[in-house]
Amino acid sequence: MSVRDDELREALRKPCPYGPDLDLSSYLTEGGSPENPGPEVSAVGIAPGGEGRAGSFLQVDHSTLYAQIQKMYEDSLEIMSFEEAVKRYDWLEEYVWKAVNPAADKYTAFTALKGKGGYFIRVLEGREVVLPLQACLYLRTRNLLQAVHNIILMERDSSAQLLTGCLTHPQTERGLHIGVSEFYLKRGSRLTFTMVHNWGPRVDVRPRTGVIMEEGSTFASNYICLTPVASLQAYPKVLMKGKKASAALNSIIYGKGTSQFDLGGWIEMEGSQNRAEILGRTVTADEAKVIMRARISCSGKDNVGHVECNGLMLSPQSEISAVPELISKSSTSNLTHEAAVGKLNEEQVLYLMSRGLGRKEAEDLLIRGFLDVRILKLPEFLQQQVERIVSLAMGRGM
Amino acid sequence: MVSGSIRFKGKDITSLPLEERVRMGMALMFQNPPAVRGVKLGDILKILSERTGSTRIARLTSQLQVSEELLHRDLNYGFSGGEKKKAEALQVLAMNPDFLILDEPDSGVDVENLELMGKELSRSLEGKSALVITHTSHILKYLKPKQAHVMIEGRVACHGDPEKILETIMAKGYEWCKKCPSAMTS
Repeated sequence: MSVRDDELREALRKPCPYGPDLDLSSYLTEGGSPENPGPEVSAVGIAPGGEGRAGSFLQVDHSTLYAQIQKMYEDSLEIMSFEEAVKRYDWLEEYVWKAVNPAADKYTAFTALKGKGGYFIRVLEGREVVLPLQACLYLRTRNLLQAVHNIILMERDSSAQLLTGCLTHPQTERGLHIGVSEFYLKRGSRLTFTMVHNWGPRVDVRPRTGVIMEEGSTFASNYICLTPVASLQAYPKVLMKGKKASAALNSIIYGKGTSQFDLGGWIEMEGSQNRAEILGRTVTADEAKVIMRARISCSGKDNVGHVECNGLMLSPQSEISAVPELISKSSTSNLTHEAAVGKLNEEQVLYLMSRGLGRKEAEDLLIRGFLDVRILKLPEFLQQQVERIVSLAMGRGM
Repeated sequence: MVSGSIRFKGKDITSLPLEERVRMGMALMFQNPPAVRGVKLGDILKILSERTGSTRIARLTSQLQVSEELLHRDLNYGFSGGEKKKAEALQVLAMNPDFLILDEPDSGVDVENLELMGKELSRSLEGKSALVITHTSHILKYLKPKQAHVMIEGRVACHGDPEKILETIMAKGYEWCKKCPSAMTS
């Protein structure tokens, strides 16, 4: 997509239709403090030394601190900063800003005009990267606007698992993270993408994600955020151009304090015989507000899609809205949805109490069960890590 | 309850909350336990094993022939009738209660699972007390209660020797119980 600079400058004034509108001029766009983060990165699943990882990428504020590949995978994949990739490969312009419209809103426009950093990850044709890849985007400087552009390119018949952890320094108040991520899955490729977010209660977040899938590819995206945030608005779009592909967008959200979440996903099936699933589990407490949007649309034949939005309200001052949408232009496709929002089931609580659990213990068990990461169908090693992350977050106080 | 009181181990437990009654040594095997999605049967047993010992639970799991697969499923969600009863029996026996209420342990369960469950209940209840509620009496092949009570319209219409009461009901129906001279009126 070719967009002129003047169109982008115009788009700098364009609010997103969803989520609170932010004044970008109230953030710092220069500066930054490229110091290594501390052990807090493990809270988002990042192995600090890169152990057990096929490759690692770390950006702090605007600076890439490292992009490394384990020796055994050096002929299987590439990892570098976005800027370095653009410099190195002319052909990358076939991909940059093709899955996300740079003039979509002020956040994409800002990233197109003034973004700094982000990662480029490419898994070469036919390569199976068994160990997970990891990328960490860390916001250290107070009031900084970190706008990154990530490109993930899965060549034909390749496979990998990518864990991206995004967080702020524990003492960083206020900031804005914009993360543009474009995924390209060539024929037969498979990618499991897990993103764990751990922001602060005064940090705003605007991920902008586009995925383009070819025939027979598989994409599973898992998004987990269990800590307070000022506002987070995201609406990733997956375009299934070919046939016999499979896409799943899963999210687990725990909204606390005055957090505002407006997120979901849109899977569009242009081709035929594709499968799509959007699954969201949300718990709200205090005065948190969550809007779960999930849209599946299809124009091709014989597609199957399912949306499931489930919300659990622990506080009467919190709010959950589930907005499932099914749009079909094919009489041979089958789209279904279920949505439910409610409070803890008292019958279930009493049943667990009849087994000797106290009331709080019973309620905690039900909430953990509701946020059970086994619904994400993660690979085993990620499963255990994410379970640990959830346990830690739950233990920090519900 | 509209009147009267409930006493257990010499203490009036009428107003005692559920968790306190459980702590005193009572347990209930539900006739229709609710499905609890997201909580596995194994999760409950893990909690109970921390309180009553894992050896006991391992033995019960084996005796009741509860499969590894069932332990990893969401509690009571999609369980067959027999699986529900076995899961219930396993949980309540794992609690090692002093007094067990069995609410229709024989309803909706096939003869094989009934035998498995009945034998283990009989073994585990030795030296303990239980209240068995049944409409079919099939469980009585394995459990030998000392007393039977027939409740009709909220009152104990009849009580006495379990075998004799059962024989009479089989022959004359519940109508006979309504006229039983041993009815409790208060």
